[in-house]
Amino acid sequence: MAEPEIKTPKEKKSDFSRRNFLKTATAAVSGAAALVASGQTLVAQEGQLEARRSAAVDQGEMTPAASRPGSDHMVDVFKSLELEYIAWNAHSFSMPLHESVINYGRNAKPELLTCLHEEVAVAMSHGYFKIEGKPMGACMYSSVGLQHASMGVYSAWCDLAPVYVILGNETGNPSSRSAQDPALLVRDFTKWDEQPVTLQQFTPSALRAYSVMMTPPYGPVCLSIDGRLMSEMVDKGMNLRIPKLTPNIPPQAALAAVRDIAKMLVDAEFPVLVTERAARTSAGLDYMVQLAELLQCAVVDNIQRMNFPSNHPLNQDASALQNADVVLALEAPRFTRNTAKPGAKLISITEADLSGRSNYWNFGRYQEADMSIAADGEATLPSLIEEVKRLVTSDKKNAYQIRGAKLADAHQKNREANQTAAAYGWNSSPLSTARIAAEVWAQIKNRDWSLVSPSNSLNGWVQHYFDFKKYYHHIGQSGSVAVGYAAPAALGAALANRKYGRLSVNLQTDGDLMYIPQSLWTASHHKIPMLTVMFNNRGYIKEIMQLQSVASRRNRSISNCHIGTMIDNPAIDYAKVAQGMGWYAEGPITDPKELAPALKRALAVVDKGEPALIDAVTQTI
Amino acid sequence: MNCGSKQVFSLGFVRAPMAATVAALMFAAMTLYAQQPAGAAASTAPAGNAEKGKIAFKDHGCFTCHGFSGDGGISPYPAQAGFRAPRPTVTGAHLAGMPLTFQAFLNYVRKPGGRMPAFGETNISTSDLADIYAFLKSQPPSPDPKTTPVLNGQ
Repeated sequence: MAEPEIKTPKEKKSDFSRRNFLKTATAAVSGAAALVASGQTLVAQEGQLEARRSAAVDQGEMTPAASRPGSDHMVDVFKSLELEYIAWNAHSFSMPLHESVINYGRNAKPELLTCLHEEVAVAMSHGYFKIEGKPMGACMYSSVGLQHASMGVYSAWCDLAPVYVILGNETGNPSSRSAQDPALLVRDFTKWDEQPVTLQQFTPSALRAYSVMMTPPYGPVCLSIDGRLMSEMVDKGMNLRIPKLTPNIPPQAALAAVRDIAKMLVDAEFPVLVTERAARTSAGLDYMVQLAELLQCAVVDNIQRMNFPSNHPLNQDASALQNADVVLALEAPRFTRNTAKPGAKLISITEADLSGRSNYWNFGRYQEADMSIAADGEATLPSLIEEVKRLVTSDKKNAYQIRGAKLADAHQKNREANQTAAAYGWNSSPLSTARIAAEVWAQIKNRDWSLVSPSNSLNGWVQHYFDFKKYYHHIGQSGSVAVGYAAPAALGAALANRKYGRLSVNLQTDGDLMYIPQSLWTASHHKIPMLTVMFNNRGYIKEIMQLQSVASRRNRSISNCHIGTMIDNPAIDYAKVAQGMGWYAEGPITDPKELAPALKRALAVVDKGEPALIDAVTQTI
Repeated sequence: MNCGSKQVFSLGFVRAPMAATVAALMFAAMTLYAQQPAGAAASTAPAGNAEKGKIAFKDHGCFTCHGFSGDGGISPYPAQAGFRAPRPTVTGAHLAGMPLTFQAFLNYVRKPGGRMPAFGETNISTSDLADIYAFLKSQPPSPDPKTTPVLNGQ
């Protein structure tokens, strides 16, 4: 949505506006015929243009000489990268670029999204990518803005999500509170950063940043832009050609290795596929299903991406690993063999070692594999599938069918056990998490829906009730342990879903929202439709449990463990918080019978293109 | 802190399929552990007050793992499970309806199995436990999944 036009004292109406001037100037440069057609000589026309330009300079509407500012060119570069949005927290250093985006760039591709905190800008970009498969920009003040945003950058790094971070900096003024090396703050968890020193250097820097960001493993990058470059006028002689951006083809495993892996899988008695992020795109989801069905093998999915359908009979829990003789870890670099049956062969295909840093411990334990391939899992799957197909004989198919039937039986028993557990507290007040998941599912199951909160929302009950089949059905998780990711990421994912007409459903924890409640305002301002149902258990419940455990070990009372952990007294009224930021909202709801009617009312609002929130007060877990 | 995060379901290839529900398995585990301490005299269950027990259940923090009504904390896919957790995973056992005797319940709280921390007399008095016991016993049974369409995902 375009920002409302802000009139400044200098933007007073006159019979000579900049737009008219530029139109005329353009005609003067490129359309001498037009000037001739007007009946005036070229000299006379140029004289008039010069008079007009001088008048514009006198009125402060234009700087003298040159045709356009460097920030206009920067917008051209961002357009060439097809950045559809830049999430933005307004700040002084990037004002020239801000103005170019909203005026020169017509605030379209990229469209500026107003964010009230830099962390919202980054996490929104993170969530957007999970649905759209393309990055967004996030623009902020280089020093204090990036400090605010840094946790969001860390989560994107951990989750292998691309975010194009743009930092406005100002090195020409020592009292400006900028930084010599602004990206240093996040260098341990970004793939690339650069601070171009000339306008000519800006273009290749911007393209390279994008290219590195979008080469698997994906990750956030920083482009620090000095305000001086934004304001610098483009000289006529400057070569600012924008080169072609050619995406890198991700590395696949070598064919010989693929053939070895295929043989091991085909010959195994009980192969298991484990994954965190095998499905980098929707194609990866299809490949995973193909491979699993060819082998009729167990799939253990850590749901960091939509890797495998939740209700597929081959979808198994971790207990399947106790039977495995061969485990293929596909983009699961933190899987370790101590969770599998002793003696099982472990094959790992992951891009993790192709790009990484060591300071922040995101990489887990060392993975002792029998075969380790540094390659992109999704890019390798097609050749692996073909090699498996070549090796599977009809005898093997018969054996696989028996194996698959047993796995389907185990999957069904798992579902039945969950079903029994879902009944506990069904009618309780506050609401059980199973009840909320079931009631929401009842309302959305016949629609084109997308869960934009973490894939294990509501204590994992969504994995039982929601039928996750399509790539956009969930957006994985934060990648890190950060709280305050989910609310703005949901916003970004819902933004991406909007143009496809999908229903975005956000099952929002209270603790997470209170880190970053201003994300609600951006949803309202930009008319991003989404249904938010609070998982409001009024506390940091895991922390209470941990504190009780410590007190008990010390043989001390646990009656004080609510101190510093409960979010109560007063209980936050999330309906009022959301209403205050322009949402339709109801609650707090503590009677489970009230939930379904409230959901229906909220969905009617969402269908009109507005966000709606239901504050559901819940059991602790 | 988990109140018994044992694997409650296993694949039928290696072990015999378990027909018991999650709740029955947990109660079996609790009963197994709820043995009287060697040499201790059997204690008579004091009369409990369910209303007081509801307050005590909350005040002593039992609700954090077991839910406000003792319905338990069971997750089909818990957070941060990684590749370790079987499903479903129990954070707090389902206690509503409480089929254990008071003595077994008392013994378990004083000396639990699994990952539940122990609560001695100084943490939770026997009198409070009697009230909590009465509260848990008073909780209504859960609905039958077969007769509740929304519960069944229909």
